[in-house]
Amino acid sequence: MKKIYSILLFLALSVAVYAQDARQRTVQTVVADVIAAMPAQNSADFATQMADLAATAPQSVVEIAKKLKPAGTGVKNAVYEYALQGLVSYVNDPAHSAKKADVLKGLQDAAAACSDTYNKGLLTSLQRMLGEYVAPEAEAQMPLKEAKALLKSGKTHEKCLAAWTLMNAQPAKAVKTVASALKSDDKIFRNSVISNATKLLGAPALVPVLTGKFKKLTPDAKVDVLNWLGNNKIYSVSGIINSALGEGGDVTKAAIAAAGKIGGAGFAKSLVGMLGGEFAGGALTALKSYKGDIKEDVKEALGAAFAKALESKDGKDYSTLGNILSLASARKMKNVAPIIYSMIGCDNGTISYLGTKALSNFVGTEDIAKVGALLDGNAAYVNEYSDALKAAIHTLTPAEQYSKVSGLIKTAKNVSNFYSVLASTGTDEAVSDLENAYNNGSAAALACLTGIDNYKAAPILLKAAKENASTRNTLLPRYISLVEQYENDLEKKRYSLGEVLSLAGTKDLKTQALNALAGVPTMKAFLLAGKYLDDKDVSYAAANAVKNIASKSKEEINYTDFKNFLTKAANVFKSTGNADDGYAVSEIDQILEAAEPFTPSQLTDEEKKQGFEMLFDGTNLDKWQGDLEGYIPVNGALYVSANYGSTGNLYTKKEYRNFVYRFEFCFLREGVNNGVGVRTPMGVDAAYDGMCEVQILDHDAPAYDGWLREYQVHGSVYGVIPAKRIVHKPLGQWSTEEIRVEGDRIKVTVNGEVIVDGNIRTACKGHNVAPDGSSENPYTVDHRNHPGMFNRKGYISFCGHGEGLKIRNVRILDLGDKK
Amino acid sequence: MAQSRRDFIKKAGLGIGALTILPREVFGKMGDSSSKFVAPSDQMTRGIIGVGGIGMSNLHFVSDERCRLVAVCDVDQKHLDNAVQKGQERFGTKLQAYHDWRDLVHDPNVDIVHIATPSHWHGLMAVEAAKTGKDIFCEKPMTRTIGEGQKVVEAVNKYGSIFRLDTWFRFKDTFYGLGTTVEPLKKLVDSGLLGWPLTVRISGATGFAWKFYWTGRENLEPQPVPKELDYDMWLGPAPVKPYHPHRVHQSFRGYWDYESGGLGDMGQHYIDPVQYFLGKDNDLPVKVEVDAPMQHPDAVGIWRSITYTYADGCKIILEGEGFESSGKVPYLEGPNGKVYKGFECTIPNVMDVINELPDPEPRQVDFLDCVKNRQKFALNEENGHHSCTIVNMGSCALRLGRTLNFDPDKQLFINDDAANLLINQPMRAPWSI
Repeated sequence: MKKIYSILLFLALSVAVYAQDARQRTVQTVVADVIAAMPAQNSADFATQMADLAATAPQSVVEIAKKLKPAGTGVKNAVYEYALQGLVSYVNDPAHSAKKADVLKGLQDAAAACSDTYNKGLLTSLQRMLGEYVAPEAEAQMPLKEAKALLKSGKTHEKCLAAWTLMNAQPAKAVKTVASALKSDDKIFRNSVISNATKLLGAPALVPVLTGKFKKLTPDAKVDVLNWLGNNKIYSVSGIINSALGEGGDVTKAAIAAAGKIGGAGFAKSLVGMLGGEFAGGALTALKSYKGDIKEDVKEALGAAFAKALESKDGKDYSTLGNILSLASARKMKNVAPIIYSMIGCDNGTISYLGTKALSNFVGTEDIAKVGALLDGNAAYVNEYSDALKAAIHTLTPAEQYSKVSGLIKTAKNVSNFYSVLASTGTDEAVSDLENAYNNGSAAALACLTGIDNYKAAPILLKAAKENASTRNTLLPRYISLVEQYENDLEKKRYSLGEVLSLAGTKDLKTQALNALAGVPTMKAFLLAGKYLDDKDVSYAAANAVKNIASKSKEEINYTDFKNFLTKAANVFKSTGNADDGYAVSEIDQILEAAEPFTPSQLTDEEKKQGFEMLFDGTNLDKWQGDLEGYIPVNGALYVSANYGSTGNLYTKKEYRNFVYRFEFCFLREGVNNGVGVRTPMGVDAAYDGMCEVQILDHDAPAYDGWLREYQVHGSVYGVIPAKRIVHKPLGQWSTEEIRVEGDRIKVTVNGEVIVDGNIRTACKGHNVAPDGSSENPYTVDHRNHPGMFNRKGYISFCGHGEGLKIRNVRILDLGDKK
Repeated sequence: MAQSRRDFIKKAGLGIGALTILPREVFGKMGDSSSKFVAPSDQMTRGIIGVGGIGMSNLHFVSDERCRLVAVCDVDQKHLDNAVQKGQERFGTKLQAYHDWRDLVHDPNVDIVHIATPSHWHGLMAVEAAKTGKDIFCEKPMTRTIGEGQKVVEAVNKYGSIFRLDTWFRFKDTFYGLGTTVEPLKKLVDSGLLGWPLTVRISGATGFAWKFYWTGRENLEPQPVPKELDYDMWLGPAPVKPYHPHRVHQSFRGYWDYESGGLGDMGQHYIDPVQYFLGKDNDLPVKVEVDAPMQHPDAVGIWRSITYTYADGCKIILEGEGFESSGKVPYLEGPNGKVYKGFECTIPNVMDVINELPDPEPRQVDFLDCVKNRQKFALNEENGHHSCTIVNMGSCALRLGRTLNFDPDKQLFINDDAANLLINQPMRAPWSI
């Protein structure tokens, strides 16, 4: 009511003449309204609020500033601080600068009237933000005379400063400074001068001075010049670099690096020629990143090195061949493939192996048959040829890959040699082929199943791990990674990781599972991870999981567990004590500060007088039995969640005949379905084998449009007595419900409204089952038999149908068994 | 004054070193960690300022033959005592303990100053370290303001220092959601296969989560300063505010006076490699837009998105709290292709193309080698200042709550006094940079 009134008022007044405020509010009211809305959550609100404050400045500023209290206990200045900061930002926007002067005046007046140091500081700093930007004054430069003196006698960094000063003052003379620095034996000074002169004059201007007398430089200075040539990509003096390549020592190393950075046609051959010997490492690095076409040079060198290695009698030096091969492999130079095949085919075992190992880098689809034959025929190099075959097929679609590999397998002599390649196709067919092979006793097939990127392999791995403990450490890590990657259902993920944790015997495996669990932001995952906080081996991983889940979970977590586990986790982090652990502790502190404990539900005085008993007050399920996994007390409410692998029904511990049953319920998502079973045995469908099930259903969900029967809506005695259809409260809001059962009479009241008041025996004219013994009962509205309808007594239950329901404050008045 | 270690190295480059040092090969191969021998003239020394958090991490609280840790400094006596004790336990040496960082910076036995303090100190300390001829290892984010970054670049150039900024994804390690190092991405971008301009999305969905627990708190009730803490020296150039434990140590990032929350903490980690693979190490965006709730003048809040646009149309989009990306979000997107988390690419068999390309140009990734050879480290004052400027552009736009236009050459916001006032912020006396 109140809301509607203020909107109408706003509409009526917004057309009023624009005076001090469009709504003719006093400054105090404007300020109060804006303060109440601080801080703005979006730019539209911000603009409206700040426009109001700006329009009423400078008074508004003074009014707000007056409210700032000196720092102390219980002081809540933030809303005022937001408003002032916001206003300053607003009028700083060029579009609103007309009011800048007024706001500034307000801040000045307020600061003058303010006696608190800190608040005055805020007001002053805000004034500064309304000022004009003046670039900071440049630092006074050292007098040149002083700089010249310092250049001669200063310490290194002083000489650097002196040179910088002189060069900046007289750029034309900078080249001279560089020339003299080159002669200095102070490496720091030399490089500083070269670097600053380059900034001042540009690299091309320095080429002559740096390279003109290159030969006369000390080796140390040569290194600096070569580094500079490389960093600045100076190609024009390639002669210097080429000659430096032959000088030896650090000069050669620097020349190689420079040649690599410069690239082009000039250095490739020389660098390739250095792939053997003392400088091979540097040459290899340089050539891996060398910009330019080096393929033919590499091919030629590879051929020569191959020939030379074949000739070498001692059989010891293959390093040059290996280095060239490593370069060709890194850059995938397919042009060398013919040489690789020759190497594989040659008599020298070492060379043949080098070729085999490198083969995968040079093959394509045209090589499939050739590589397939090598794989089939060679037991020693199955891994290497498998890699090559994988590389040969990898550009095909998975289906094509599978068809190629299964084609090769059909004619293969050694089928198991192909399992790893089969797995690499990742297809469902490959999973099933490998599963069959494993079932026929192939351990190799099982091993290859760990290499397949297909979630269908997961259950096979888990089954094998369960059957054979010795395989767990190899199979379960892969199982975890598959679950982590492919399982989108968080609850199934939690369940799967829980299975691993119960099987895992090693620290590594448990750690991996807990790390995966950290990515499952649910209450149940939190509880599972929390169990491992006391396990010394994995307490750190558990602490990490608990922290991550707590920070990401949108589900509520029972406060007691929440606090208990997070406190334990914080202690684990504290005892580890690295920097990041400190941050983790601080994160946990913040999470805990934001969480709040709940108060248990209580019977009203009247209920106490009448003799009601509390069945669930939010803390525990001591008075309940059945699926305690699927129903979890969290912060005062019972969460009904479809638990993967659980049964779904929760029963009272006692049996009842006549009673008044009260509870509150709340839907968390659309279409929630559950029900209250009445006079039901355990483990059956209460709607038929109990007296009845009183439906709990979010029948307003669009999913039920058009097909829901009247005897299925919320409150209905399912299939027997339709309820009056109500409109549910929005998701997240609580409703009250009372179910009164006396003899054959049942009455259901929701939010104070009676929606069912009937007699089950009358409703089916005394025929709870079809008189003719068939399954078609003409007397019930759902035409089904309800054999349990006339049960004398039974449990009261919640009949779970998936997650999304919260229940709280469940209490009962037992009316005895007489009626 | 006694000859410093560093003076000795300088001269050792020639003559002395060559004469007095036995060939390393006699003792073992350099670089082989198990059997390395380092000649005394090659050995360097280091002092850490700030030994509460990152300075005490296993990455940094180390001392070995190549570089000995000799000094530590902290304004929290507990931190300092702890560091000295750990130094004794782990390295068997008595570390020189300093309360005032200026004493460490002026210690002639220290070659390399490692700055591991909250970031409101970084610029000031780096400049001072350069002025005394030290080399500098600085934790990210490089500086709290763009202006302080400019000062660091200038000082490092003037005094000939070697500077390393400490984040590393531009040159090593699996790069968050990418699942690879940054090199293949660099090669892909350089190949032109994706087309141009490119958009990079840094978000939880692409594997780059923002740490929004680095937000500040409002309405803090003043608390007594613990006796072990010199709060005035902790604040240094920052304005004086009543003490509260949340303002200092491991939660300081939540206050604009010292840093800029999750953006400050992770921003440079995430953005620096982007500058590298976009080839924009010497460039900066021309525009920054923010979508966020209004910010408090003191406590850093959350934001939904920050979008940077370069002059050529390339964009970096930071997607933060409550940002709903529908469906699969590409990390990198160009007119001709997209790259998702885990380097999944819409271009078929893209790795085949990448593998045939030359590797990116090798860079200097051994800081101690850089110090020795006087070469710029892969992430240095120049490119570090650029990527940090992007972080700081974001914090300016957040604080002002609006779109800002930037001039990359002048490194100033265009016709925007308020934004430029955030580029150069006053320091509390007596501090100045």
